[in-house]
Order: sequence, then C-alpha cells, then structure tokens
Amino acid sequence: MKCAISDLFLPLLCSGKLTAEALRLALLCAVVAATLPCQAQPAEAEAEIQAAPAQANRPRRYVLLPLDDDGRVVLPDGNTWDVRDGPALFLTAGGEEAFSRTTPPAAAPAANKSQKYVRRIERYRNLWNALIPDHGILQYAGSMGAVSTGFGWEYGYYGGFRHFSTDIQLGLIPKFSDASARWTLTLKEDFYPAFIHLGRGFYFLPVTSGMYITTVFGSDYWTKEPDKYPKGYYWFSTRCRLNAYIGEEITWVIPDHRRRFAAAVALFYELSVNDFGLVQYASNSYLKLKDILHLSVGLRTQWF
Amino acid sequence: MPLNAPALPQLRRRSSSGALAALLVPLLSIAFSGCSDLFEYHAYDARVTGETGINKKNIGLIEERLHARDTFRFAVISDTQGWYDETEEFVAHVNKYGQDIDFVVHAGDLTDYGITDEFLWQRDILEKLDVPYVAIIGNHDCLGNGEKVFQRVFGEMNFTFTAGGVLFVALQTNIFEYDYDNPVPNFQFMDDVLARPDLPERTIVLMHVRPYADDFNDNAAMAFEQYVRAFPGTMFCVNGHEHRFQEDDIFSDGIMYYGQTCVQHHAYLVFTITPEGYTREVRHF
Repeated sequence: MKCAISDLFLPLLCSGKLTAEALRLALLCAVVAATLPCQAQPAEAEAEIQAAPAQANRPRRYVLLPLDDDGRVVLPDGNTWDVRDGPALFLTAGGEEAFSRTTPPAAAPAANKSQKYVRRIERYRNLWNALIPDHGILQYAGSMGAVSTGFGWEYGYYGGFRHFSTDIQLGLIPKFSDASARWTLTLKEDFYPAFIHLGRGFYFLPVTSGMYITTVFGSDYWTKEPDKYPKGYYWFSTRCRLNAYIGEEITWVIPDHRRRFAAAVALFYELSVNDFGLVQYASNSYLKLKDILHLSVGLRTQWF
Repeated sequence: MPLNAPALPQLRRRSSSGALAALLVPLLSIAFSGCSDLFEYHAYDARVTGETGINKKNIGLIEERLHARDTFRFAVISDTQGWYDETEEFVAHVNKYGQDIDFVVHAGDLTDYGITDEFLWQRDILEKLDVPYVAIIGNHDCLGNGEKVFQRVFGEMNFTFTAGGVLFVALQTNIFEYDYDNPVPNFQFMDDVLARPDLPERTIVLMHVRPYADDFNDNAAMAFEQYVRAFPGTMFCVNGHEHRFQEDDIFSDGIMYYGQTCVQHHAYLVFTITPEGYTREVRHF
C-alpha cells in the first residue's frame, strides 16, 4: 500500500484545459509526494482508475506512473518529473499515449513574488502570441509580382468586425524581357471601413482600401541613388514603389462545425495605382485612368 | 471578423445576389474593357506586349526608302520622357506638315523611370508616325531593368544603318548606369564598324549624352572624338539629354555637336543632307 500512496495520482484532463480543480489536485499530489518520501519502485503496469464524476460527459481518468531510482516520476514519453520541478499537470490530447507536460510557471513558494513572475511570463507569452499571423493571402498581380503570397494580422475590431489589417507578401515576377525572374516583398496596410452582413455567414465589404510599399530584389534597383550620380539627380527610388488601392471583398465566415483549415475565407479584388503612374497621369491627358489603374484579385484565408 | 461570436450585429439584410452583382459588375466590366495591361505584375515587370524590334524593322524601311537617293531629310526629337501629350503633338505635326521628312531619330530618354509601361506608351505614340523612326537609349531608359526592355522593344544599344549613302552610327554613351562590365562608350563596337568593308563615304554619329556632359565618361572623351573622326567623312554628331538646343564644336576640330531639346519645348531639329553637305533648321509645333 505504501507504494500506492507514494505513487502519484496524476490527473489526465482529456479536454486539455487547465481548470482550477485540476490545479488543486496537482498541488495536492505534489504535497503528498513531498511529504512522503518513497522508495523507488520498479516499473509498474499502468492502471487506470475511473474517477468520480468530473466533467459532464467526460469521466476523469487517473493513471499510476512508476518512479525511477531517484524518486522521480517516469512519464510515458521518457521524461521525468519531481516535485522540486514545481506543480505539474500532465495533459493528454485525447489519447493515453500523447503525454506532454505543461509546467505552470508558479513554482516558487514565495507567493507574491511568483505571482508577479507569472504575470510577467503571461505578458511575455501574450506578446509573442499576438505576433502569430492570423490570415494568409494569395494574390494575382497588383504590381507585387505575378503571384504573391503572404500572411498578416487583423485588428481594429469594432462593430464586431475587423477594420484594419497589416500584411507581408512575397511575390515573384516572371522573367519576361528581363534576364531573370525577380522577387518582390510587399508591406501592406488595409482599411475596411464598412461591411454588410448578407446572412449565412457571408459578409460583403463594399469598400476596401489601403496602401502598400513594394521592393524588388536585384542589382538593377536602388533605394537611394548611388553615389556616382550628382546629388539629387534622380528624386525617386527604383526599388521601392508606393501603391494605393481601393477594392471590394466578400467574406464567408465558416460555421464552427465545418472548419477544417480556416475560420473564414474571402475573395477580393483591388484597383491599385503607384507613385510613378500618378505623377505621369497628373501631367498628361494622354494617359487615362485605365492606363495607371491595375487590377488584382486574391484569396484571403483567415486561420483563426 | 467576428469569429466565435454568435451575437453579431446584423446591420441589415440584403440579397446575396445583389451584393455579388455589386462585386462582379465593376470587375467584369474592367476585365472585358480590352485593356491588355489590366493586370500589372510590377512597374519593372518587363512584360512587353505589342510591337518589338522596332529599330531593326524601321531601319529596313529607311534603307529601302533611301537606297537610291543622295538627298534626304530627317528630324530629331529627344527627351520625351513623361511628356506624352507633347510627343503626340509632335507626331501629329510631323504627319501633317512633315511630308518632306524621310525618317525620325529619337535621341534617347523615352522614359523617366525606365518602367515598362513608359516604353510601351511612348512606343504606341511614336508608332503613329507616318515615317519610320529609330530610338537611341538615354540615361533614364537604363534605370531599373529599362535597358532590357529598350532592347526588346527597340533593339541594340549600339547600332548602325545606312541612309542615302550616309552611315549613321548610334552609340550608347550614358556612363552612370553602367560599371566596367559594360563598356560605355563601346570602342570595340566602333572598331568593328570601322573594320567593315565598303563603308559609306559620310558618317553622322548619334548619341544621347555628348562628351563632357554630366553623364559622359570624360576620361574617354578625347579617345571618343578620335573614333568619331575616324569614321569616313564624319559630318556632325547629334545628341539629346540637356533639354536645350546646342551647337558646339566641342573639340575645336570642326566636328559639330547638335543638341536637340526636350519635347516639352515644342521644337525639333531637321537636317537636310545633300551631296554637297547639310543644312539644319528648327521646326516648332
């Protein structure tokens, strides 16, 4: 019986969520392990115990884990755990094999200090989490390559809808009359002033707008005129183009039960103009709007 | 996007088909408006549509037109970059009042930034000329990948042709845009021309940037002049670039350099070549 007590009862939370109850149980386990020095036991077959009713439709299950010679818990994935490592939850992704250990950072006994530390780590994690792009883009034309692809971040939710997005896109210009194909990189800022809910998850954006800067890679282009030119000989950069666009978009927010890879998909088109085009259009009646306006079409996939 | 948010503000319901029409109608109307460069891949995408190899084609026309003549007349324009309206006016003027002109020389700078569209717009205007024309590359035409587009649309950067018994040598003289891997001016090319058998008895040299201008390799100016003089019976040189009329015997050796101004000034040079010599005039439009 001794070993039954000293062995840890570890909660396996099939839902994968950290509940207060689970945390308390883990802390209890840790306390038990700390106060009852145990003898090492040889590897013991895993035993599953049906626990008292836990979640509404998912019984909580416990498993006995063996200890190694140092009194450390041996996890199925080969790692070990000790109370000195701090309280721990052993989560599964739904199956018994998929063990992974999540160590809540609150380990030290000094409560105030640790709380501060937890919050700091939380902020740190939130910061990096916010940098995870939430959507991908595949676009045809638009002065940023024949095809460009990239990702971005949406923000400015008010009225229940995104109003801004920042995107980075990498594009490829085919060779055509040049000596080789060229890469372009685009930094884009979008503004979505309005949307109309059409029902059944469809949204229509009657106006989309934004600006983007493209750069093109290759030794033919410069950002600032090279030193060999007399100062101010060329006022412009051949590498960087500033573009502006207006367009329209239709978005389908995929119902929860039908989501596989994305939470929403959108089709859009944009009519864009670049700085060179505008300058020349301004001083020539020969040029018509259709000469300087360029169409592009694209697909936006919102991952989450 | 309001994901996982059942309580969405539903502004007002509208039929899906109406919104789709609002989306598709402008899109399709543009797509079928016949605009070939509707989708642009990049300002410097070098995607050339329409006429290419223009110099070669037009040189054939010029040589055919003038092979049995010893008197002819040609016009020079230059620096038409960004001045499409003025270039159109020039074309209209030559077509209307320039029946005596046999061909037109463009002395470079068709474009401001060397972007692909500029070449095509200029080409489309110049193609309306009733007489053949040749274009020489200017320094602005070399920006970005402009020289590659120039070569595709117009042709080689250094080239020659013979009109009415006169050898025309067109040279790429814009030094700034090139490093030592691309010789400017190309003496090897001039050597090759000089080595040709049966050269005509007289020569006119065409270029965009003339010696001692800001974009010329001044160190090579004297040597360049030696080559210019080495051509058989060099009559004069023509250049553009400086946006003003110029008439200078730069080296005090009797070889005149005539500079054509930019098209914005609504004027162009016309040279009349006769067996005895040549005359020049400025025409306004």
